[in-house]
Amino acid sequence: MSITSSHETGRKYKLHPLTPVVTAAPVLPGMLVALIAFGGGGIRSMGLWAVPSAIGLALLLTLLVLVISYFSWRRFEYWFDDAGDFRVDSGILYRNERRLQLSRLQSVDVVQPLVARIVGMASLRIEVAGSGDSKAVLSYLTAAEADQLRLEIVSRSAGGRIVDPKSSSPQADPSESVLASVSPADLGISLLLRSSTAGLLALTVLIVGMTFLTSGVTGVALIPFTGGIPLVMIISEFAVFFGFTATHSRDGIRLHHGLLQTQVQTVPPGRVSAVDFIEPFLWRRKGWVRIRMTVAGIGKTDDGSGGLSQSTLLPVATWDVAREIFAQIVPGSNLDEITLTSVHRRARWRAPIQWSRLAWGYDSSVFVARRGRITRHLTVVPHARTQSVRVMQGPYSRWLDLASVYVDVPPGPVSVAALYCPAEAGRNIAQSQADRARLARSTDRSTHWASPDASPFKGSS
Amino acid sequence: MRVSPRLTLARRLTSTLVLIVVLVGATVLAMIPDVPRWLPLTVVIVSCGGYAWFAWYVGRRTRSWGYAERAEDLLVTRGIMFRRLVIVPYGRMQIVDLAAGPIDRKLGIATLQLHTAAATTDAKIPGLEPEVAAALRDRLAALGEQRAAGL
Repeated sequence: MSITSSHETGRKYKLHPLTPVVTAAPVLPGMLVALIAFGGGGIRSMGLWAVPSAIGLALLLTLLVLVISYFSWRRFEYWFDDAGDFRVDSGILYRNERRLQLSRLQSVDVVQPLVARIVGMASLRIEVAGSGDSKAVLSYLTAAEADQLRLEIVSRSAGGRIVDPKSSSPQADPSESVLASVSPADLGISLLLRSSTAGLLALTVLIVGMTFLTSGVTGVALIPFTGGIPLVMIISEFAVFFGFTATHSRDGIRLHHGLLQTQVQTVPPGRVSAVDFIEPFLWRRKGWVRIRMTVAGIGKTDDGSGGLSQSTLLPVATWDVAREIFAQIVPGSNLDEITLTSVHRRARWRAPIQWSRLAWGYDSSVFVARRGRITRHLTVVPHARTQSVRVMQGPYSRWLDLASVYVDVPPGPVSVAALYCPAEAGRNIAQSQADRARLARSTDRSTHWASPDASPFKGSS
Repeated sequence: MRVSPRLTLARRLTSTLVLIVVLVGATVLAMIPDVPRWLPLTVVIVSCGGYAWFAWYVGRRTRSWGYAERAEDLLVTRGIMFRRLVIVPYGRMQIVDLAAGPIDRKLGIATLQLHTAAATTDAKIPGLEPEVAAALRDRLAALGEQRAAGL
């Protein structure tokens, strides 16, 4: 695949002119469904007029959205400025001029909602590190344009600064190779077997059984909750992670998934701050594991499934596949070779259930902490991504001479902690972790992996 | 390094204000005819007891705060019941905040707070004398810039 730069620095670009149509189109069926669902009573009072007036109302609202999004399209511009930042100007009444520092780029996603997908359009979501709202969403571009812009942004973020040529990525091969893919059957079964959903479903069966046996109505009212909530969760997650494929590419790990709305997320190397290998109780027989990740700037604002889909590195896979993915994220680290130190027996007075699973360990590039007995967690943080280290000790822990060490990472789904280790060991871990983090920081070049020479945009027009 | 003992005084003053508000509340409660006698009395006893305990405890707690500027990182310790030790590498600091409320200002102390990209970092040092605090802030900011490591 040959890449040519289509975006000149300093020149302003607009979104695709069909944007207002694609934005407004989903409103019409949505409004019609809502009117039928909630306005059913109107038919009795209005008679035959109800149907055309409902359609009229829906059309009117759709038109309104169309007009508004037309004006916002007119005032929306994006460009690469001379300082190497990505700029987005938007807003009709309140103008918003956003400047994204590409050196702080965390993740680029190409998202295709159903309507956009039908007409071959996509929206681009660019995440940079920062507190609050630190992203830009470009909707809509043609799918090809979105892909092109994504490549360009990722490449500029990596090659935009002067780096040592020796530190460039060892995988200069631009072709993508598949690391993992999840079959729909595995995905469905894995979602069913998750501790929370499986528990609620079992409870539903129990309630139904009890109702039959006692022929009473006790708990029938609970069925929609105990049965409905997991069902909704399973269906929505199934739709989000349907057809999950993780590929390795030159500019990082790429995650493709989605049933109705598809998403292609690109996480450049060195952006993952921490990962959590999660093994729910019922997955253990299958040997399955799920990986969630913390990427700075993602998942802190709870925008529903958006946060979930962006912070899941692998919805379900076997340990072999999980290890392979992990090796791509943190090169040069082998999880199996890290010796874990278990906590002292007296920790069982503090954590009676999980104490035997509590352990910590490290090698030259990562710190590992294990916890959880029913749902097992194995959390990993690269030394180079360690923010700060904390040692905490409550009164009860102090009496037992135990302390917990927290390795702080940016906000996200993963928290890394060596819980309830002996107090003396805890202090040592904290101290040595701070030293390891410093060492790793001074040698870490993973975030600027592309040297200027390797940049595909050099000298192109 | 230890923090200023004036922090104890500041904390005691704040808690005295809280006590006064509670006592006023109890008096109002006692004047409402339908309220049983024991209720405001209990409030008074409990709050006065709590105040006495806190006034004593806060002195020990102030003495438990400590910080050390080391070659590559800042160390902050605190707590008696819940002890904690935080190590913040200079290269990870993103913001250094210096804040002082009205009581703190009157007494001449300030609170220094460090922020990293992790929200859980929680490294703050209260009860610093303003000159010490400002000097520390400037030193930390300079060190942070020197060793900045981004994310």
